Amino acid sequence: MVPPPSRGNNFPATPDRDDIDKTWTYLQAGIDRIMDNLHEGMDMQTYMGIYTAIHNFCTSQKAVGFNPQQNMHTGAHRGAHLLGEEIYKKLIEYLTAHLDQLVQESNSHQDEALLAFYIKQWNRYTTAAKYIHHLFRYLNRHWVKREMDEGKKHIYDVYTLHLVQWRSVLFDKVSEKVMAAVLKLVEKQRQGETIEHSQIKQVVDSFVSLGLDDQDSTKTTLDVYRYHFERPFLEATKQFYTAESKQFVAENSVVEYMKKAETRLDEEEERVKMYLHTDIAMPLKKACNQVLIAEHSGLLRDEFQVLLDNDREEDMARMYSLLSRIPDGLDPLRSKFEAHVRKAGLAAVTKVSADVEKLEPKVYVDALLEIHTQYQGLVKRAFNDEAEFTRSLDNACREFVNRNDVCKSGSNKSPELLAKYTDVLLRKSGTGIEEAELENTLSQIMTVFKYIEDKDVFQKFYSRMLARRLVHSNSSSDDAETSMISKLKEACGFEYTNKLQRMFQDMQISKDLNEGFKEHARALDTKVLDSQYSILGTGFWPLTAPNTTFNPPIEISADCERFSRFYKNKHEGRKLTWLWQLCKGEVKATYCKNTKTPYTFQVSLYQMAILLLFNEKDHQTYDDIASTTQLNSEALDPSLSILCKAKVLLMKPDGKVGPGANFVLNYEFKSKKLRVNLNVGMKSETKQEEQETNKTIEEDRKLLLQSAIVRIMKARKRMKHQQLLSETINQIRQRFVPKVSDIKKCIEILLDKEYLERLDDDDLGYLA
Amino acid sequence: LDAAVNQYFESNGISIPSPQPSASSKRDDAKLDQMFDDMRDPEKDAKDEIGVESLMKYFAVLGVNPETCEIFVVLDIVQATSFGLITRKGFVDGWKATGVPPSISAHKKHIKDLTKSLSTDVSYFKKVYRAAFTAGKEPDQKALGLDHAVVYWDMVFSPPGMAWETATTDWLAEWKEFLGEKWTRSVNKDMWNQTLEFALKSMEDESLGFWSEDAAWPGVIDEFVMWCRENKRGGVMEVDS
Repeated sequence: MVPPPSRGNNFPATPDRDDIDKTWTYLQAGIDRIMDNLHEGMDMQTYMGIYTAIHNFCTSQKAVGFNPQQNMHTGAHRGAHLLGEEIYKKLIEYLTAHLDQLVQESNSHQDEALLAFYIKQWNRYTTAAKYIHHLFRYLNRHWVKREMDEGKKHIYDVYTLHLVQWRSVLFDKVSEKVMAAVLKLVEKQRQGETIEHSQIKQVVDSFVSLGLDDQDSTKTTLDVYRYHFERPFLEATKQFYTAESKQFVAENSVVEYMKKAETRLDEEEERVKMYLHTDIAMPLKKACNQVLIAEHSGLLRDEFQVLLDNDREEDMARMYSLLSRIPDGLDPLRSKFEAHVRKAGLAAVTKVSADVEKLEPKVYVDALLEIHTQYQGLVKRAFNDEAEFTRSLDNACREFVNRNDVCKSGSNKSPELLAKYTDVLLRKSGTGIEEAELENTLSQIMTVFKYIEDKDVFQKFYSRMLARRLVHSNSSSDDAETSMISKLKEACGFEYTNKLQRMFQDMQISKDLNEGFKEHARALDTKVLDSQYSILGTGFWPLTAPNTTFNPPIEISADCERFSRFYKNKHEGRKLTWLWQLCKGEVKATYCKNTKTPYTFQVSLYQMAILLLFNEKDHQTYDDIASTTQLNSEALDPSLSILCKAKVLLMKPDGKVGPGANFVLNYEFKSKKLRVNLNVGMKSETKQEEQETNKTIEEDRKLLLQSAIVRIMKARKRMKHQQLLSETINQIRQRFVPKVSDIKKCIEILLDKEYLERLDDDDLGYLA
Repeated sequence: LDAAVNQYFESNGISIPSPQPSASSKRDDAKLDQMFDDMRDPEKDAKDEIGVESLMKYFAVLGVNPETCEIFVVLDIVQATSFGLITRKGFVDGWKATGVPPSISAHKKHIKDLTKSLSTDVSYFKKVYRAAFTAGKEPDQKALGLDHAVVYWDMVFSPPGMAWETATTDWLAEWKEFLGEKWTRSVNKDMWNQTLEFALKSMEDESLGFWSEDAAWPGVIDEFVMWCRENKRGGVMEVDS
């Protein structure tokens, strides 16, 4: 600020360097001027005079006989020590008196006037302190430094001394009153008045400046500020909001209160930014959260059910954001949410499941999806898409997907219906869905699939229906099929979809084979039927050999044999089994009298075999048909019934198809369509298939469990029973949720087969 | 005593070619061989085996009541491999392993002593119990028919075997009643062995507090416990009600 005086100059009126009283009197005049009239300025001469006086005093030889030269060079240790102290003490006395005077003056002010007074005096005092600090630089540099180096307590540099004095003389007496004024002002603002908040800001700064570290005066702490400002501020805040919120909830709805609380919380955050120290941000937030939220959390939570029931999304979002501010605030919400979603899901299922037998797969899956979509949306919009809430949603969905009214009739019902719906979507049908929409729906299927516990059941049904789609080539699109399989693969892994993919491959290979066969036949110039063969790997397809004997018509068998030879030539040693029950074809009915263009009948191979008999003779007995075709009655009767029902054949006598009946070709056959589909499955067939599927599931599960147990034991050799249980559950859970009793049964089977042995202490051992 | 026994055999001077190196053991073998031949019915039994009828006679000779688990003590010694079938090797090796002099009277005494210890020596009882499964099943079968198993349980779980009962409950009766109601299948080795483990535990804690579904008990034991709880019987009742 001011350049240090150069040593060669002489200044008049400097006092006797040895006389402390004279020296101080000289100094005080200058200090007074700085303190009270700084705005008038200070001339260089006075400034220099004071500086020199201090210097001279500190370097005087009064105390010991060192020569000045030496004193100067050795830092004037002893002399400066003694004499500096006297000046330092005088300064303290002076400041104490000065501040006492201020305390007196402050008594005549209060509230905002007191604040104004405090701030004004603080500014004046601290500015002066800086100047004085510079004037006393010599003292600071030598005596003070020396004292501090020696570890003396309560010796400060001159500026800090000013602050210490302020704190001990004035602050202790007036800070409470100042703080009361601050709080009054803040309360005014909280009640909506406009206030001069820069005053508070300055008070805060002053309080912070007074935080001197008693251990190390070069450091500052927030202790003074925290004790004198933060503490009462937080206290007042709590009181204010406790009272306000209590009154508010008594007079208003919970929803209104949440809005109020939200506003208040925002305001307080704004307040920190506007004029408070950032140190208060956290504790203030905590205090507000406590009184505004935590203390009313019970009330809020009680309201949550009401909000859920009425879909008050915005209010739920508000409640979420409020309760997320307090520890463990959301847990009760999550469990209420979970229970609510589960209930909603169960109710939705109950609504559609009046008649489980006739329940449309689409209706069922849509009911499940609707609930999921609704509440997933809620989680996204109201609950910040939070992972915990998503978990609650998942838990609830898993519950109502796997255990609902529909599943009561059979726990496999959910995966079965889901697979059936997928079949409906992927099957060629009149209601062509757009590609994009189909893809979308398949994704939704996967949403439900994710919650299905018995994924193996889905797999079973899916693979059966996929087989049917492929064999009858009535899949709506290869792309959609592939997309679905890759979705399943993504969800459950390679093993889950392995067979499904192999089924696809077989179809592709068959296509090439057929082309090869056509070419082969052309080369030999043999006349062949317009036929298509599918070669399906036994291990991959959920198909079984026909359960009837069958003697195919000569036209068919000739072609079949030709193909067999062709195939065996290519792949020696492979065994072909004809799945007659899955074969189908078309025949032209040229005999009908009522039409010029002949009808085309789409028929099963069994039906074809029956119809071709009528080329020989236009009436046949049941027994003749049975003996020629070799079909047993289980296969023959339904085939005949459909032909009769469609009036392609006429039966005599009327009644049930069976031995003794006669059939005549109906030359009068009429149909609106030229192509007539007679290859329609019987209801009882699909029913039976379902039962079979369910039965194989139980058997497959046993095998799956046993192989998992053996796998685990093979790796571990010896294991505690309980550990084996949980490990097995872990491994199997992706496919289905095994029951403990089922696992134990499998362990017993393995014990009996001597794959495992019982060892001491509930241990099981692996026997190689 | 051993020395005296050896003396006795040496003085008898019986000699049969045998891989055994020691002379005294050779003589023991010969004596036991002779005893085996004595009980064998040359017309009905094969050369190195005796069948049921000869066995019954043997029991009579030993003074063993064929309706008690004493027979399992004997069958355990002679290493019976299935019901009513004892081999020469099992007989000779088995008796030799006991270290008892090869005479009917010594054998009789040994059997009586062992039978007495059944109800007090748990580990010996366990040995005999386990042997009963092997000795009691039909040849070529892996499991015991339920009827047979029940008869054997009757034998082992009542004196001179170890009575399966506690202060308030006749467990054997409960077990048999449960099997009659709920069990139709045969009894495999695991079920046989674990039934004893369960019996021993139940006698320590008749409230069945030791049981848990997750523990290693076979399914049939789980079902039995559930059955007991449903029926609110025995010790279980005291705890549950």
